[in-house]
Amino acid sequence: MESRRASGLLDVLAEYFAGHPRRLLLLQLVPPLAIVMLFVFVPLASIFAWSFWSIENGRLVPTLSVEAYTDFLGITDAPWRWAIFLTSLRIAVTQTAIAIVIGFAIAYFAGIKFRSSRYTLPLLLLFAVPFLTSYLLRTLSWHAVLQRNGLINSILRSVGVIQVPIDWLLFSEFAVHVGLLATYLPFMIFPIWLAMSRIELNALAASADLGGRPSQTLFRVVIPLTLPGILIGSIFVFVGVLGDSVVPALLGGPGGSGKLVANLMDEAVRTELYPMAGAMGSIILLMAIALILAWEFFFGLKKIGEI
Amino acid sequence: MASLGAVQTVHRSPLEVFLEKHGMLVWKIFVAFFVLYILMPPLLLVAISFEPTGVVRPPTGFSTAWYESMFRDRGLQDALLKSIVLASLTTFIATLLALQAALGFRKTRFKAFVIAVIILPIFLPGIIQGFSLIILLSEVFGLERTFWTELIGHVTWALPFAFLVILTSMSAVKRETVMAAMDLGANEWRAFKDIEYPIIKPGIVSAAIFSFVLSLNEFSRTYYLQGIGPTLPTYVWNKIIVDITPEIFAMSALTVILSLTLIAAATVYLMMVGRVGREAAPKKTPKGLASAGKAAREPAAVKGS
Repeated sequence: MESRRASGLLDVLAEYFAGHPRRLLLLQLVPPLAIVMLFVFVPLASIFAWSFWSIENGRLVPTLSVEAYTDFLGITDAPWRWAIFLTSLRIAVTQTAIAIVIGFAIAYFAGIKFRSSRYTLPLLLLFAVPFLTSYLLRTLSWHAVLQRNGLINSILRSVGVIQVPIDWLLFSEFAVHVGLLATYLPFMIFPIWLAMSRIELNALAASADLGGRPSQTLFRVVIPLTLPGILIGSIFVFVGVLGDSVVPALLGGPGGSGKLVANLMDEAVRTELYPMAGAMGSIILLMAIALILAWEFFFGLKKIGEI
Repeated sequence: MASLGAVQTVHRSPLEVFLEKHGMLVWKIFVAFFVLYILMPPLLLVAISFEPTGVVRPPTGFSTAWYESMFRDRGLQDALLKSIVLASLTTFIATLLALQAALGFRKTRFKAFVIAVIILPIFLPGIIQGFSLIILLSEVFGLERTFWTELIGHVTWALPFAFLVILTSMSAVKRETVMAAMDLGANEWRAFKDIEYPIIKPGIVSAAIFSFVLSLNEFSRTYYLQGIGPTLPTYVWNKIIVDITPEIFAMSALTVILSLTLIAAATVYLMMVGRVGREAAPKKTPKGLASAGKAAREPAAVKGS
């Protein structure tokens, strides 16, 4: 009874809202939704508008100019931005492919091979750690592994495999891929694992009983059933890589891997070329939206499991 | 192998035979390699920070010299203090909003919409979110970069994760239990406070811890939104772009240790919900991120429980 009196005011409020459940629902949902809409979606939608605006006297003014896009494509300016964008696309596609192969294998292990083990969830949790630790520091820490006197070179030299340290490990496209994979692999593992964990093991046994070889079971049963997960993971990795400026800046090197499209956006923002930053951001967001719509078209919200 | 060949009419390549024999071991080595791949670099930072020579290489001795020189750094102390204040405020606001959203989520008909709006920001590049927000606030609305712009960025970053963790912990609450309480005369508040809250409390606490860790480590948004004085990550960044000194490894190691300790605590605590309501055990482990994938993949799939 003591606690009943202590929450007296809340009880009064509760009585009121019991009579007005819709008002309570609005009070619960509107603040979080409004904050995300106002501070995430409105700015993201605005960059499409800014990409057509102009900078006059250091201020962003509303116009209908396509100069940012023509500059970007190299029509009204030297095509260096376009070249960097193509390099970024190549790296993003390569990284997505690497992540699919490795992410699929790990998801297969966790979702099918190792499904019934009580260590599966702790294992997956280990792969979630990168989401929560600093992405700046995680990237920086690759210096310790890859540099001339870093971990890999030290080990290879003490074993006697090499006499001179390998110097392309750091500040190279290789290093960019190493760093990107450490960041984006979990984005691939989790969606595929979720799809895997819904596959009935009986279906795999049936395939084997009917004479299917392991490779046939893989290509005709497992991959088709996990395709939605593979594709959503690919979207996360692809868009994430295009939006990553820290990995190329810290690990990239000559040959274009030190400066990718995200670094161009960053440069444009810092030099207050907002329409250019907006144009590049718009292109990346449009690609993300197109990929999500394509996914929606092929798999649709109709394929709903229950939680 | 001969007997195997006799039973199975299908021809098997040597690779398949080998995998059949040692398959699980190969799998375990493969997966262990990638666990190491993801976890080793941050742990190596910790090792290097105790390395007396301050050179990046496998450690040769133990020294706390870099920690001592780090703690004499006034700029670092200010950055650390600012990060902690910011993370604490973010934790409070994001957890409260996430709880509200999760409570409302169960009752609304527009589940797909609510989950899509709240979860989607996780998957859009932080750099684009950061610069779009600062251009909107500074160029269009004419606001200055302050502590409050940073706070807005951090809350929008932590909110989806907190929401997912609380939502998954709510799946341990049986609808019938709440209904029964309400049939017995409890109003919604009492039903929440006496029935639901004790069950989802680990979820709320974990959501708070995750929010804190996410804010403490946030870089891409802070980089654009920050007012006067850097946070810990942007302070480290400012130092990295000039020169990588051993003090940076000490700072980094400190953040890594703090983050991993908090994550471990949150995880252990969340695992405890599993014992309270054991039927939902697979769902409520703190794989908020896993649910994120699921939610983004099938937004309407989450029908509430």
